[in-house]
Parts: sequence; structure tokens; C-alpha cells
Amino acid sequence: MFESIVLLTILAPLVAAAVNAVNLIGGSNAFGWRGVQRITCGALLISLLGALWIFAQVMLDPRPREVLAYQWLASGEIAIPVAFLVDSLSALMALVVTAFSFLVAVFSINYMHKDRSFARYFSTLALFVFAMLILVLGNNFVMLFVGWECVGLCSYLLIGHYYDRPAAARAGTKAFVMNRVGDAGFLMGIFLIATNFGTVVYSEVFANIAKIDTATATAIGLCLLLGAIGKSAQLPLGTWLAKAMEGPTPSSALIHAATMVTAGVYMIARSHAIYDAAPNALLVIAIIGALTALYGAIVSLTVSDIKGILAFSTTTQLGLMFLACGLGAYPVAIFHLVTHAFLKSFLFLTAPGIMHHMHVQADPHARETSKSGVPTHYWLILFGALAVVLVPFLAGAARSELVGVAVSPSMVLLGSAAIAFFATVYYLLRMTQHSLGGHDDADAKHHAGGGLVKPVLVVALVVVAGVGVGLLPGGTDGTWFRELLGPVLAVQSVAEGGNPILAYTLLVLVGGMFVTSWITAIFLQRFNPELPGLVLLKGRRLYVAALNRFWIDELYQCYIVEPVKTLGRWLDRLDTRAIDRIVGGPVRERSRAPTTALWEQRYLAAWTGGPQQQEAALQADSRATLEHATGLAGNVTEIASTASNWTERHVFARGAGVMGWLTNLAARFVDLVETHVFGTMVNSGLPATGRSLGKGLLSLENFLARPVVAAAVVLAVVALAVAGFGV
Amino acid sequence: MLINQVMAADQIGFPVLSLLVALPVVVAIVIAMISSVRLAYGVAIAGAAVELALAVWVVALLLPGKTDMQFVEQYGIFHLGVDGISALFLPLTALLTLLATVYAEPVRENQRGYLISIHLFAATMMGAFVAVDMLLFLAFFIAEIVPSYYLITRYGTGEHRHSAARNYVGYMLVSSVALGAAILLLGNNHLAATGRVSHDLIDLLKVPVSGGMQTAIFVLLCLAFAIKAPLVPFHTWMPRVLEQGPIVGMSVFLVGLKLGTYAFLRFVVPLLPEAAHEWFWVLATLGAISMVYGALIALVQTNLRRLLAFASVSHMGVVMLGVFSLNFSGFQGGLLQMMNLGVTGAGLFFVAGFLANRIGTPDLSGMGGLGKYVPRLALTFLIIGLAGVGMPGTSGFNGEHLVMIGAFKVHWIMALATGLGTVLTAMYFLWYYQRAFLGDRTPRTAISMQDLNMREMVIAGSMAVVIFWIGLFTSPFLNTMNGSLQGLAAHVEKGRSDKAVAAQAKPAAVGAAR
Repeated sequence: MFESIVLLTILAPLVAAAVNAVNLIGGSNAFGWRGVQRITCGALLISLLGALWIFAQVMLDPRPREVLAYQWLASGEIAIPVAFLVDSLSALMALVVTAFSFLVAVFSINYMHKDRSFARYFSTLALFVFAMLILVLGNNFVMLFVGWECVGLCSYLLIGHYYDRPAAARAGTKAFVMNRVGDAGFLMGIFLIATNFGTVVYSEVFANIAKIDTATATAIGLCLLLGAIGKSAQLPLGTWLAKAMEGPTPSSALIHAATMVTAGVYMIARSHAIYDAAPNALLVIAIIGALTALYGAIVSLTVSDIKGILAFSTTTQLGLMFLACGLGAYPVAIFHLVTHAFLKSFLFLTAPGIMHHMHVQADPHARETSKSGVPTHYWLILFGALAVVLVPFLAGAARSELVGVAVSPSMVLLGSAAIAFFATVYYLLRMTQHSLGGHDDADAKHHAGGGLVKPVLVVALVVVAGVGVGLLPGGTDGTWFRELLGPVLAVQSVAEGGNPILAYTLLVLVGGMFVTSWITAIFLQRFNPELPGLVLLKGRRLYVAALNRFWIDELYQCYIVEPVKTLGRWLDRLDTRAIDRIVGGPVRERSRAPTTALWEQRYLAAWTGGPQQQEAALQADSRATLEHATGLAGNVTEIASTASNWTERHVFARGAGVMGWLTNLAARFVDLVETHVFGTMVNSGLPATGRSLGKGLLSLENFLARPVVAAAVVLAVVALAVAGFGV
Repeated sequence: MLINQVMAADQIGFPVLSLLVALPVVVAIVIAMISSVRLAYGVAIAGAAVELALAVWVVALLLPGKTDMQFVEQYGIFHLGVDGISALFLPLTALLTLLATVYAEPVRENQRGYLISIHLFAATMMGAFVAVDMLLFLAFFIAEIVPSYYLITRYGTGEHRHSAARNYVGYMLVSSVALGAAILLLGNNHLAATGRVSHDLIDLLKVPVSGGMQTAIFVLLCLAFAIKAPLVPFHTWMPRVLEQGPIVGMSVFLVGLKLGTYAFLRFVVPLLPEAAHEWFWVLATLGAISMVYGALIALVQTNLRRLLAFASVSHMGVVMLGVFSLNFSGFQGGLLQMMNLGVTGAGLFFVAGFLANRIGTPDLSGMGGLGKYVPRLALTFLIIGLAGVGMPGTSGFNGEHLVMIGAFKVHWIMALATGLGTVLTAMYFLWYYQRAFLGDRTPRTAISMQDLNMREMVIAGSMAVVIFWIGLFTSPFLNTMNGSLQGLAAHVEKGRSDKAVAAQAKPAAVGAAR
């Protein structure tokens, strides 16, 4: 029962994806777009119900359970099963994934209506849900990696959904390749695990964690982290996320904000046993998280389109989750993951409404401010953001003990929470005031249709309910959420971060950033709302840098991508010019084709060209017979008579370089034998008898000229030679 | 290393391997005799299908988990047999033959000659994979040159096809000469030890080769197979042939059937375990270099066929890394990767053929934004390409990762090189896909393109099925090869310890002499 429901939950989206894809490849003959949306939404609903049921089961009995599907592959002592692990963490993640996918799918019905690639979009979406479920429910690192790669593929496909736009195509490739860099690290991590533990199954690895020393744990942790950095768009691999906004907005909401990009956080939380054994790796996570949060916050100040703002805000929030992980506060990170999923899908799903409202003009600065509003969206956005982002962090920080240790790592958390607060408030203000506030005509028909608003309202209601039942603030000590995740993420309240000096540095960095940005925000909003650039007069360089996203993309382009391509071109030239010459290649054909080729053309073309050509060739041959003997024997004669110039005759064997030289040598030897033994014999014998033999020989020749016969003869000769050798 | 033999008579009741080798030859002869081209084509398809069924049957009947040479037939030097190492190559060869035959339908100009050459080529390949006697292997190795020369010169599409063919023949002859010399040396060694001439693998395995001789033979064999594989720097014939030669036919076999790397696993490693231990790093390094070198060059190619050639060189590097990890996982990965490349490399050549049929050029200049006009073709390209990139769920993932596990056991740098390879592979493949199929700059000639027709769908579909089959249900494939590979790994391990014992014994002996 339990097993079949788990499998059903996972497989339903796959079936939907497959059915849609087959229908699509077959030319959409079986059913139209209505069928596509029914199948997809139905499957996702089944998944959602399944995930709810699983979650309920876990609530009733928190013991982890494993479900084995089949044995995938085994190599020596390492066996990799296709199996699933259901515990509170994975059940929660599965619920988040299925719930948001279902909402997004329902939303997409309206949003993608009349899109040329409606079916393609829905197939990919369903496939994505399947892959994401594999990722969160798998019971070993390889399954995690499988899901990891598949969501990457879906992300690639969805980013490039409008593939006839070059920017979308480029963005897809970029996202895939950058993720691939991270994945290489992830793989190394998996192999380190496999070689050190002899297994990749979570439970077995974590049970034997004491077997490895700190250095190995750190190495594994850092390798896995590289993967997480790629997927969760952390520095320095994070630049693909902003470009990923080329995809359809609902898919951005689902993949590049709510679920896929949080996979890195999930992975770190899942393998926390390894990180707990490697404090240095944790420190690296914290630093990267903090830097990314800063980076995202600063850049989001200067981005001028809604989806860009949302992308960088996602980067910031992900940075915060990493920071929380790095400080050992895994439940906080997971809690933030869940709430952030709510917030982001909420914001993203309202973005199309806003853009629709703004006549599909994504730049909020494009319109003048005036106070005729779009109240629904305004309040939805404001409420959603405030409720979700601020509450857990402020409350969590306030509750954590600030006494005791001089610098509690939780203060760092507080500082970064403040950044999140600032960034959120700032982009909210801009989004609402600049875009929603102003509109040139107050035509009510312009507002987004009910189909676009309903799922958004559902999200809003869920948030309200969450706050209502005291779910918030979660992840901190003593809360319900903490209790739930307790068995999986059994860790001390907030880890005593590694190095106090680093903690100080982090705190100062984060705090300083917070203060400056806070002041900037207020200053900007009060005195100079039109031109944010002028506000940052003092920090102009910073502004320019932020506007250019700190040139990270350009650095990659300049120092990695271009050099690699140049190296490739250089090697290509080396290959054709140097290696080819040294190792050997043939000389180019002369205007006069080699004798063998002529011979071949004459006979083979005739044979292949049907009876008429054959006839013609035969006649030509008969004429030729008057002057030369024909065929193979004639050839030899011809060769022998034409000449003394060796190379002229043996174009076949000519070549350059070592290989050419070797061939040359072999050919010379054969030539010697030929001229002195066969040449003289055949040359003097055959022409004389040839005329009298006449047509008989000719037909024999023709028979021999058939490739089948020729091949058979060669085969026979080789076989004879071999047999002779053997005996 | 002792290999038992199970006779075909006991196992299946008739000489199935001879039949596998002979059937394509018979089909070729029949095709040549029949006057109706239509009928000849039907015979070719039927023959290839029967061949495939036979090959699958053989694999299905193969006793798993054994090191035995099975389905053995021996008439003097004509000694055939399959085991876990060679078994999977039989259905692969047969499948590629069938698909190449299916594809051949649109070949209008002398279709018959084309079909004959394809079948003869298949016969020589099949023979090389089932040959147990090394001389017989050499015979098939050389015989393969004949149909390929014919295919390149007659059906080549490049203007320099004659020079490419000459180059190919030259390389192959050098390769054969080196192989022949090595075989003679091995035979001599056997003669010296037992007083009887034999070049049979099973006999040769019973007679250990002494140190210095082992190195000499190793160098010769490696030269022969490095050319055939091909590995950098002996690879230059490959891009030339693939660019100038026939777009499908032979390219499919060349890229698909990894005779060179198969021979490393079949002959070099078991016959010369000590030399392999001593020199594995040379070949592993060559493999790593090939991988990165090929991938980097593939990155800047605009011609799809050249790109595929260098991609093939790059993938060969991965296989070599696996084989010369000299452990069980590495062998498994190498062999599985050969299967994967057989499908993906050949598959991409089919796609290149589809493209060339439509736009007349394999160059990027004729492409751009094609996805809009030929979505199924684009999908095929993407699926097969992703298998090459190593996407989980496709055949590429398992092979590549077993190779990495094997390489990791030897040295982490080797695994790191493989990791770098995967990044570069994704880069060149997706970049090409982006420029050819995505975007909005479509050349006018490409706009009226037709999407895949039924025949091409069959080819694309069977490729996709095999890719997902190997990718998702890997265990049966691994089970087939496991027995032989375990035996091989144990044998190599024994070679390693023997060498260590010898190395320890030497100073001790010196000390004793003092």
C-alpha cells in the first residue's frame, strides 16, 4: 500500500509527460490542448494527493521508510538501487514540490493558452515534477544525482522554451553548461563517498560517518558543495539564474525560484552528517552564502525589470539559506526554503499580471508614478512578501539567545535576515509604486483575468493559514516545524560556528552592508525616486558594478570561455597542420586521377550504372583493346609501360609524414616484386596471348571486376594465406 | 588464465557463430545475383533482421557469470567463440547493419553496391568480434579494409574522398603489420614454450610471456590498436574519412564498432597483464589527452561530421581510461561505454545523414533555427546527444560513471580528467545544438525542410529505445559481461601481484648473491 502510493506519486507525472510527448511527436492527433492540460493537471493532482498522504503517514509515524523499486546497476561491491526514502524531510520536500507544481500547472493553463508549444511546455513541466520527486525522494546519492541532472535538463528545455529567440537559446546552453561544472564536482563527491564507504545509500553512509577522517569529510563536503553551488546559483557559478528568466514566467516561478534552485539546500541538509564532520566545509558554505546574499541584494537594487529583480532576490534568499546551513541551522534553512517557495511563486505568478497591466513592458521604470492603483495586486504582493520573508527571520533571530558567546553566529543570521528584509522591501516598493501605481488608463478590462488571479489567491490563503496555525516562525527551537524535522536533522540549536574571527568578519560585512543599503533605500525613496542612479552618487562605482552584475559573466567569457575556444581553434590548426604532416596524410589528388581510380571508375561505374553504361564501357574497352591490353593485366602493362617515374605510377602509395613514409616503403617493396616477377612475366606473356584469347579474357575480366567477386577473391586469398600460416 | 570452452553443439545445436559471419556474405552474394533492385533491398533488410535475431538469441542463451568461451566452433585455425566481452558487440553490429540497410533505401545511385558493401563490412566486423584465434582476427581485421575502401571511394561525398581512402588504407595496413608482427612474436613464444605453433588466444593465455618480450609485444599491439581506436596522435585518418566518406554506411560502423578498444580488452590486457601494469599510465594518459584534445577541437567545429569525428576521438579517451584503470569497474565502464558509443555515435551519424539529405551540407552555414521546421529531427539529435553527454537514464550515464569509479580507484586525477571531459562534452554538443537548431537565423534553403519520415522515425526510434533501455535497465547488460570481466580483473590482479613478487625477489636475489 505505502510502497505503491509512493511509486504512484512519483510515476504519475512521468506517465503524463510520456503520454503528452508521444502525442506531440505523433503530431497531436490523439488529443488537443484540452487533453494535454487535463492529463498534466490530473497527474499532478494525483501526485499532490499522494504526497499529502505520504506526509500524513510521516506525521503519524516519523520513522524513515525505504521503498525499493529495482536494482539498477552493480559494480563490484557498490550496488546502486532505484529506491526511495520517505522521512519527514523528503516528505515535506515532496509536498512542496507537488503542491507548487500543481498550482503552477493550473496557472499555466491560462498563461500558456494559445502558445504554439502548449503541449511541449506541459510535457516538460510534468517531466520536471517527476525528476524533482526522484531528487527529493531518492534514497542514495546517485538517485539524487539522477534527479539533479534531469531537473537540469528540464530547466534547460524550459529556459529555451521560446527557442527561436537567440537570447533564450543562449541562456539555456549557459545554464546547462554552468550546472555541468557544478555537477562534475558533485560526481567527484559521489565517487569519494563510494570509494570511502563502499556504498552510496544515505542511511549506510551516515551510519558509518565515523569511519572517515575530517580531511576526507571536508573533501567530500566541498565536492558536493560545488554541485550545490551550481544548482542553487551561488557565487561564483550563479550567473545563469538571471539569464534563466528567458523561460515562460510560470516555469520560472516553479523551477528558478520555488523548487529546483533549492535542491542545493536540500542536498546540504540531507548530507548534514558529512558536513557536521567537516566544520571547514560548513564555514565555506556560510561564506559563500553570505557573499551570494550580498551580491544578490546589491545587484537587485539596480536591475530594471521585474523578472530580473525577482531572480536576484531569489539569489539573495538562496544565499541566506546557504548561510543558515553553514551555521548549522538546517531546520531554519529548510523552513526558509518552504516559505521562500511560497513567496516566490506568489511574486512570480503576479508578475505576468503586472506585465500584462503594463502592456507587456517589463521595466517598472517605464511609467510615471501616479496614484490610480491596481489594488488587488498591490496588496497581494505587499502582504505576501511581508508575511513570509520577515516573520521567520526576525522572530527566529529575536528568539535565539544573543547572550553567552560574544558573537553568536545567530547574529550573522540576523544581519543577513536584515539584508533580505531590505532587499525585499526595496524591490517591493519599486514594484508596487513604480509599476502598479501608475497606469495611463484606468480601464478595468486591462486587469488580469480570473484564471490568473485564482491560484495566486490560493497561495495567499495558504500563507494566511500558515501564520494562523502558528506554523510560523518555523525552524527555530521548540517550534512545530523543528519537531517535525528533528529526527532527520538532529543537530544542535545553532552550530557554534567555526572561527570567531571569521564570524566577526562576516558580521561586520553583513551589518555594514545592511546599514548602507538601508540608508540608501530610504534616501532613494524619499528624495529621488525617479533616478536610483543619482542616489548612489557616493557609491557610483558600486552602482556601476552592480548594474553590470559585477562583470562576473564577462570575466567568464573573457578568461574561461574565449580561451577555451581559442585553445580549441589552436589545437584544430595544430591537428591539421602539424600532427597530420608528422604522422602522415595523403597528398592531394592531381588533375590526373591515379591509375587505380581510373580503372575502378571505368569498371565499377559501368557495372553500377546499369546495362546501358555497361554496354558503352564494354565498347570503349574493346576499342581500348586495340591499343592496350585491358583489365588488370592491361593495367599492369600500362603501369609498366608508362613508367620510369615511380611516384607518378604509385599515387596510391604516396603520402606525407611518418605514416606516408612507412606506406611508401611497403609499396616500394611490393613494387619491386611486382616489376621483377609479375611485371616481366605478364608483360611479355599476356599481350601476345591476349589478342588470341580476345573476348573470353575480356568477359573474365569483367566478372573479376565486380566488387563482390573482387572481395571474394581477396577474402579467399587472405583465408588461404592464413590457413597456410596456421598449418 | 584458463578459459574453458563450451561447444556450440552442446549449447545451441548448430554452428551459430559461423552462421552469423556467413549470413551477411550470403546475403551480399544473393543481392548481387538478383536482378530486381527492389527485391534485392528486401533481401538485404530480411537478411539483416535475421542476423539481428540470431545475435540477440546468442546473447540471450549466453551463460551469465562465467568466464567460459561459449558457442565455440573450431576447425583448425577457424576458431570462433563468444564470451561476456564480445557478446554484446554481436547484436550491436547486427543492429547497425539493419539500420544502415533501412537508411540505404533513398540511396538511388547504385543501391545494390552499397548494400553489398554494407553487408560485407558487417561480416568482417562480426568475424573480428567472434574470432578466438588471433590470426583469424587479423584476417578479418585486414578484410575489413576492402569494403571500406570501396565504400569511401564510391559513396564518399567529399571531393577528397580518394585521398581519404588511400590514407585510411595506409593507416590500416600499418596497423595490420604491427598487429601481425605482434601475433608472430606471440606465436614464437608459444612455440618456444610448448614446441607447437599456435596463435590461438586460449593457447596463448596458458603460456606466460617473459618481461622484455611482453613489453615489445605490448608496444606493437598498442600501436596497432591505438591507430584503429583511434587515439591521439594516430587519429588523423578518422576525421578525414568521416568527413569525406559516405555519410552513413561505413561511418556508422567506424564510429559505432569500437574494434580497436575491444581488442585492447580482448587481447592486450589478458595476454600481457604485467606489461599492462607497467605501462597502463601511458595509455591512460593518452586516453585523457585524447578526451580533452578531441573535445576542445570538437568545440570549434562548424562541420557536423568533423565534430562527430573529434567527439568520437574524445569518447575513445574515456573508454581507454576505463580499460586501463585495470580494475573491474573500469572494465565494466569501458565496455558499457563502447556499447553506448556504438549507439550514440552511430545515431548522430544517422542524424547527420538526415540533415545532409535535407540541406545538402553538414556545415553550420546551412543551419540555424531548424528546430522550428523539423522538431522531430531536433528531438532525435537532442536525445542522442544527451546520451553522449552522459545524462542519467540514458546509456551514456552508466558507462561514463563506471569508468569514473574505476579511474578513481587508480588515481583521482584520472577521474578529474573524466569530469573535465563531461563538462567539455556538454559544452560542444549543446553549443552546436543551439547554433543549428535554436535561434531565429534560418537559412532560406532550410525553411522548406520536411520533418522525419516514417523510415527515419524507425531509425531514430530504435536508437532512442536502445539508449533508454541500456540507461534504465542496466543490470542485464552488466550481467552479460560480468563473468568474463571478473575473470579478467582477477587475472590482471594476479599479474600485478606476480610483478610485485618478482620485484621483491630481485633485490633479495641480488642480496643473496652478495
